[in-house]
Amino acid sequence: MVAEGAWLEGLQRGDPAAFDAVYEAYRARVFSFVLRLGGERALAEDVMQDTFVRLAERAARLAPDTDLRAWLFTVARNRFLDRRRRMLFRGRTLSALPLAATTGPTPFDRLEQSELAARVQRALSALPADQREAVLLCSVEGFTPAEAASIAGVSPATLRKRLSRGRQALRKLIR
Amino acid sequence: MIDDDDSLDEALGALGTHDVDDWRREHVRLRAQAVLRGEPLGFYTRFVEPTLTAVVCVLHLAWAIARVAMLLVS
Repeated sequence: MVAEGAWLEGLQRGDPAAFDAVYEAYRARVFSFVLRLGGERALAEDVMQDTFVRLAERAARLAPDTDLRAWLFTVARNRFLDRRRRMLFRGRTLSALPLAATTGPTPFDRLEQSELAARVQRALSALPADQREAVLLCSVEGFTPAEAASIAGVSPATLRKRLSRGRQALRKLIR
Repeated sequence: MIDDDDSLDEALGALGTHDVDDWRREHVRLRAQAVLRGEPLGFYTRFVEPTLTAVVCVLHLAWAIARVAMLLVS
């Protein structure tokens, strides 16, 4: 992507305009991803902040071929797990994290603009966390299974399996 | 029930994006910009904010312990 290349060069020089461009392009996407992953707005805000401050810290050392979008989602995903672990006072894998609310509309549901979107959100919340993550990365954010696997720290085969199961479950859940 | 992949993708496409409020958006931007410029964190961020947080936590903990103690005694 041409713009990303220019942003990357700008970031490496410490150019604030390049940071602003990346921030505007990806802030809402990163925030939405974490919000849907965990279902907690305050947590998603903190993770979004951590992610972009981390980008600023690492800007000068980013490799020229860095995929900025994947880098941001990887950092956000890892920060989300770190913060959740700290909140739970013990380490757990993503799949062991408690599910988001699964019954009835929540304040988060009400943020969704349409009834269909609210139903999709409730169905996503009902998925096991690892399947939810795979669906969000591939089917919502548009990452390839290989990219999503790299972000989630699993093999592409595992990611594809989670994605397939997640999509199958979603089809049944969205009525 | 959604029967095929296209319908599912359409349903997932109905999900919009969410964003943080204006204050948070600007706060994060300015903080990251300061880090990008290599500026050290300000006095408030380094000392005042953590101190206030610690004080509030200690007061809250003391209040909670006192409440439990009162309940046990009474």
